[in-house]
Amino acid sequence: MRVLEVADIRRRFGGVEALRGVSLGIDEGEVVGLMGDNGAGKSTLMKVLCGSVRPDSGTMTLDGKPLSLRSPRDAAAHGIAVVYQDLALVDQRDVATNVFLGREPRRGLVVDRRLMRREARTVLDELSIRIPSVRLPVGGLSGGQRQCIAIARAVHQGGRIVLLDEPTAALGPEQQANVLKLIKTLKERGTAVIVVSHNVDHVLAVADRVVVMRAGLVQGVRDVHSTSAADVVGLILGSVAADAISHGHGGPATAVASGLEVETRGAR
Amino acid sequence: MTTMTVPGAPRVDKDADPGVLRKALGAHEFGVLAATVAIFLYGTFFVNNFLTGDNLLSVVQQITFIGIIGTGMTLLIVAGEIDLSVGSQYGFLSVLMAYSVTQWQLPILVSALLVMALGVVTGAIYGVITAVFKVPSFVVTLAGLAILRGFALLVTDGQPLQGSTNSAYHSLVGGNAIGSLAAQTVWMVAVMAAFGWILSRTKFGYDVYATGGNMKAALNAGIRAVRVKILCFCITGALCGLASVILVGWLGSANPLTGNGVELSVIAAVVVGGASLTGGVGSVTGTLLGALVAGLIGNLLVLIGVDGNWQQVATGALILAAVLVNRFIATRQAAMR
Ligand SMILES: Nc1ncnc2c1ncn2[C@@H]1O[C@H](COP(=O)(O)OP(=O)(O)OP(=O)(O)O)[C@@H](O)[C@H]1O
Ligand SMILES: [Mg+2]
Repeated sequence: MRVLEVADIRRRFGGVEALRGVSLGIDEGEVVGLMGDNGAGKSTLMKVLCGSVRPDSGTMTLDGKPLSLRSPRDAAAHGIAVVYQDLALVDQRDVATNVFLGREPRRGLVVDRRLMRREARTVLDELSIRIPSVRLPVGGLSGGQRQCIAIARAVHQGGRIVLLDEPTAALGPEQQANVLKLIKTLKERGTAVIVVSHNVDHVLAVADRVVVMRAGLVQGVRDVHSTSAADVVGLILGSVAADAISHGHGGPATAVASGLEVETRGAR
Repeated sequence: MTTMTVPGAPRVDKDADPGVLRKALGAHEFGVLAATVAIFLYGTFFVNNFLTGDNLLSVVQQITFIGIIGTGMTLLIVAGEIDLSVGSQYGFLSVLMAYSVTQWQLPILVSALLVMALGVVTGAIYGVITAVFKVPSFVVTLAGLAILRGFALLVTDGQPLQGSTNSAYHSLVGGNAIGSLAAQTVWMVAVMAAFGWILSRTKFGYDVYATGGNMKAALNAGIRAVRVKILCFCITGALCGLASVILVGWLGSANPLTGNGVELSVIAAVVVGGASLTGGVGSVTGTLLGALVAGLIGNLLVLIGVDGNWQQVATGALILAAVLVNRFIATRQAAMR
């Protein structure tokens, strides 16, 4: 079932057109790998999907109903959880507080710190994230540990759609593997996951579909079972060969790609 | 016994409470706590008449207004903002309190609520200009400092105003609670205990820390950070109002110059107490200790018979020392992993 669908999303920052008409849909339990060169607009698209950037134009639908997100708070209420690339942690606060940021468990009026610490530890253990103590302020932790905490937060928050912007970028091999495993677990639970990554192998390992963006447009969409790393890299680089392939299908890549997707998915 | 050292053996709780001593050593309040203890011990052993109940109670009484207003300032500074106009607010609201009781003949309770409500409104205006229109609070409240002082002088023609002579009011805020424990002190302790609890334990308190620590992260996490900041300004205004109500009841009059320069003592108490002006760090306990240590130094200088102007110098030195100690603690905390 189609959970989230966006069509013809445009967003301009001053003179930069970060998104120039992007269309994308995702099904329940589907993992979409979002790839593309630096500055292609991936992060901006993710921010549109989670309500922290408002598109200039374009439509969004959730479960077939029009959706308009005014803030990340709105998105969270609709079951959209997100891990930002520019990690949104509060350095001065401890690990447990950051895992629960904005959603602290309460007993009456008081934040239940013991429960918070215990659950934070459980989530960290599930993800094999090694952190000496959940009482440490996150400002002093390593980049990878911080990233893990941001992921732990999105995972704990749950939701029907999880957006991950370069979740494995700063991680060691074991943590990378854990994140990939985690994405698969989310998928099994029926969660829709959009993961931005520059690592083709990671994307091919977990995703059902690869969406490649370039310069604010969807450059092409590939089913992972019928594509290869070389093909995807070609799309990302926008080499002559890749261009020829996408133009060979005729028409702008965006329209073809999203149109086909809807049909093939619907037919299944 | 040997199993204890084998990796993977039953694990000790890594998240266990590190113990009071280690916690104190790593806390942002460590510097001010150490200073308070050191100064207290110095006074106890080397200064006559220091360690008497009456003397210590008078020190605590003298910090009442710094403590009450400093509580609001703590919330604000933790939220990443500042209010430079607290001294003027305190002065203006004192004048208003006296005016309301004597000129308008309003009941004391109504006047008190009016004064606190006006503090809330002032805070809300600062908050909206700062958080919504993105003008730094430093600038907004600097303007407020001048405007409110001007109003205080205009309303009174620069002359002190007679306040209420109601004895119940006087004894509620200006009398002695038990023995020589001043009612004022009780008010301060109540305010600080309540807001200390709110800041450190409740969801609102957590939101204040998140907002000041990383506003973007707070917003992304669904915290209504703008509202949090506005509320902190409002609380500060309300507490300035409360301080005014207590002052006027205690003195029975209001001087339009009340609170001149108090913003500096208040900010000093908060910063000496371990708060960071960049936001996200600080506590009401720290502020209490910050106010206390300044009060103790002043008291000792008087008892020793040093020229009162040295107190200014000592306060300045204290701020510098406290900031340096906090710097040191922050670096050590980062290295403690
Ligand atoms: N807040 C902003 N203000 C101005 N320009 C922005 C802003 N956010 C993004 N942009 C611009 O939009 C374009 C797309 O940026 P975006 O962060 O979406 O790229 P990306 O695909 O995520 O790149 P990367 O792989 O480097 O993370 C870039 O040219 C960027 O400079
Ligand atoms: Mg990006």
